[in-house]
Amino acid sequence: MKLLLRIGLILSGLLALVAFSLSLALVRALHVRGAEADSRAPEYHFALYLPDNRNSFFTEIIRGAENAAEEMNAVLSIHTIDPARFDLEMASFSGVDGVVVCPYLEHSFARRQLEKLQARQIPLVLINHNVPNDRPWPYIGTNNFDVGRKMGTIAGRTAEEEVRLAVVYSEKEPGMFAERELVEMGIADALREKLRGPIMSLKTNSNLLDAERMVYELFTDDSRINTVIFTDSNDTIAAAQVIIDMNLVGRVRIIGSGNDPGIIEYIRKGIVTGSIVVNPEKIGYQAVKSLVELRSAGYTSTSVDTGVEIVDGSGR
Amino acid sequence: MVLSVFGVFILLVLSTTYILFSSIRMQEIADSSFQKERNLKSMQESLMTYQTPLLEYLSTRSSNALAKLLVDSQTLRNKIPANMPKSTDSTELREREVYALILSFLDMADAAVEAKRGRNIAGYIPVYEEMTRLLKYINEEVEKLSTERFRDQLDAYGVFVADFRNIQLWNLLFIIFISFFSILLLLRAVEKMTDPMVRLSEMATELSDGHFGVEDIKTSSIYEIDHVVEAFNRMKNEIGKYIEEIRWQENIKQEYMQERLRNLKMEELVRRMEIYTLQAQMNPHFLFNTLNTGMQLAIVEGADRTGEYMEYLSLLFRHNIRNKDSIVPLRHEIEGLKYYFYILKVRFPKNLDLVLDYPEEMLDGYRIPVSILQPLVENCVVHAFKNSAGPSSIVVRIEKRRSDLVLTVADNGCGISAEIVEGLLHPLPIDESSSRVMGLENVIQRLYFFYPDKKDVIEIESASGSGTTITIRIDTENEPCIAF
Repeated sequence: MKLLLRIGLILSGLLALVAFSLSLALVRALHVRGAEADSRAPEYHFALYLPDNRNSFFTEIIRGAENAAEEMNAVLSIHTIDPARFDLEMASFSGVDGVVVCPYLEHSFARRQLEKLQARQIPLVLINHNVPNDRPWPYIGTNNFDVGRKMGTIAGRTAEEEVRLAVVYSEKEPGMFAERELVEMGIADALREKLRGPIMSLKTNSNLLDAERMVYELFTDDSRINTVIFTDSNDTIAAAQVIIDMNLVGRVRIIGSGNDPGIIEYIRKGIVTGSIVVNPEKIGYQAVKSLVELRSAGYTSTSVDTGVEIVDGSGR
Repeated sequence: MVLSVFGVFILLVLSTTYILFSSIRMQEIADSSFQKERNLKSMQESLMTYQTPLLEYLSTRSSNALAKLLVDSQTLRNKIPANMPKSTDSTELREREVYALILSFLDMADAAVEAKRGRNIAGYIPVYEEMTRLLKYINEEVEKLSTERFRDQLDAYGVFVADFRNIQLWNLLFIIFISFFSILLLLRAVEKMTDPMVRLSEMATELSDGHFGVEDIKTSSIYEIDHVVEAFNRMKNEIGKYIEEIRWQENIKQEYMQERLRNLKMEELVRRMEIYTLQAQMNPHFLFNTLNTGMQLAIVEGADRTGEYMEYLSLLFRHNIRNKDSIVPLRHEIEGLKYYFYILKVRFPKNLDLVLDYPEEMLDGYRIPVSILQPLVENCVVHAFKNSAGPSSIVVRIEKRRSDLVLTVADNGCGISAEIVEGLLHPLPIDESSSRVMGLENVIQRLYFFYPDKKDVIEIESASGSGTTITIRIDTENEPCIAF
């Protein structure tokens, strides 16, 4: 009886202790989760203003910016640049330490908002598209003239006869459309006498499959075009499929943008002639880095060209 | 006991307190997730009401409106957290931005009021317009933030509920186990209290059975019980000691009583023997007179042989009663035996051969108990030759072997069975035996009496049909024990 009593005492005591410990640990975990604080308090709060469109280009910009923020002990809030939402207009009141803007807006409106930020001495960096100003803001991105030249180079390298060219811009890639003159100047510069006739400018909307409709209409109405340049990766993939369906492979050259696996596969098969690849992640990373430099040192490079690459069947 | 009860009480109070604490803590955690939301909503409402005195002041410059404006502005500023941390959480980051927008809104309101005071119409009108847009934007952001937070909270709520359930389950188990533990603790305390009592009762039973050698009861940790236990142990030990002493006294008393009883019996025996002796002294006188008369008659009548026989008979009786000593010289015993032999020869003139063999020089040198040879010879005559038709022989021999004087009475009679020999050599104690001890038994008992330390003082060798030899060994170096 005594032994049973002793065993019961020890057993119940231990079980009670285990139950108590587990309960306490859960309460503590709940409390800690409720009051979880960053081990390292971020030093800067930056805001990134981008178009609402969240295609791979902007997603990669955001990823690059977030990587840089984490690396440089900063935090990042993402906002829309849509004028209807007042985000950029109210940016100067939001208490941020710096702003990254991708200003594909109408220039006067964009400049007004950027000047407002400048007036409140909030560090500002532009990405992907520049806004002309007397006192230019730091710019991170590609030079669209260079992009145009690279596109023209691909088109000229593969064309044995004259090039009749159409460039398809997209709402999904507003920066390129905003600087279409520069792009087309670059293309013309690269093609020179091979370019036959004016460059046809087209634009797809934000629908991922809109390029299919456009290519179909293009080659149904005007069969003289033999080279089409796409400025968006989704459009490139959609158009390539239509070219196959319309049995235009070999007769129409497609020059795309981006290095998605689908595009690389089309290049390997010879359906897409080549592709222009910019590095949006690098743009985002560099933008945040420039803001940190502005905050800490007070200055940064006026312009950082993140470069453009060509991917084609030659393996270059 | 009191300590145990108090311990159990404390344990239960602490357990209940912990359950209460954990419940309150969980409520606080649940509440805190909504606290920020409530703060923001409250600020949003305050901002809406703030618009009224602002507009009133800007349009009427009312001092009342200004006072209210200043109070509301201060109240709103107080509601804004002093330190809004830069968090990696996007919702908190957005909240930080909203608070910054509200702060900007209040700064702008102050600027507008300043402009109004300075009658700077161009100053406050655009500011007010900007404020209106900002307020709209703040409201939109608060709504957006609420929606986002609600979405986050839905996920967090699921986790919280699961955790809450687990905590409640563990709390329930904790209460069950701790209650069980407390009950067992109480039982143990009760057992600790009752166990000495049970042992006391068991020991009392043992004591009542007379077992005072049981071990002392161990003390418990209860003072009152220990007091009783110690008193009981002390009582047990004292009683044990008394009982031992009484037993010892009782033993002595019994030994004394037995000794006394033995002495009484011995005295009784002695008295009886004295009576027998007196009686024997009285009868022989008559017998002697009668025998003398008979002897004179035989002489007168010329019957010389009868006269001689009666003379020897008279000599034998006289010899037996003349000496009253217990221990007599060997010569005295031999003389008596000679008289007895003469009578036996007259009785059995043809077929009984009697031999008496002794060295003459030993007769005066040694002393032996009186009348130990004649009864042995008489025993042979009476029992040994009952069914014997042939010549019978009785040999009495006296010799010295080292320090022992050896007296031997041997016959060639029918012998004595082993059982009878055993019975003779190991007689019953004197207090248990009959007082009518005759012949051989008498001799054996007397020899044992006089020589208690010599176990082989008498030996009987006998076999059926081949006679009996009775040997008496008397240690000449030790005096016989004649004192009672």
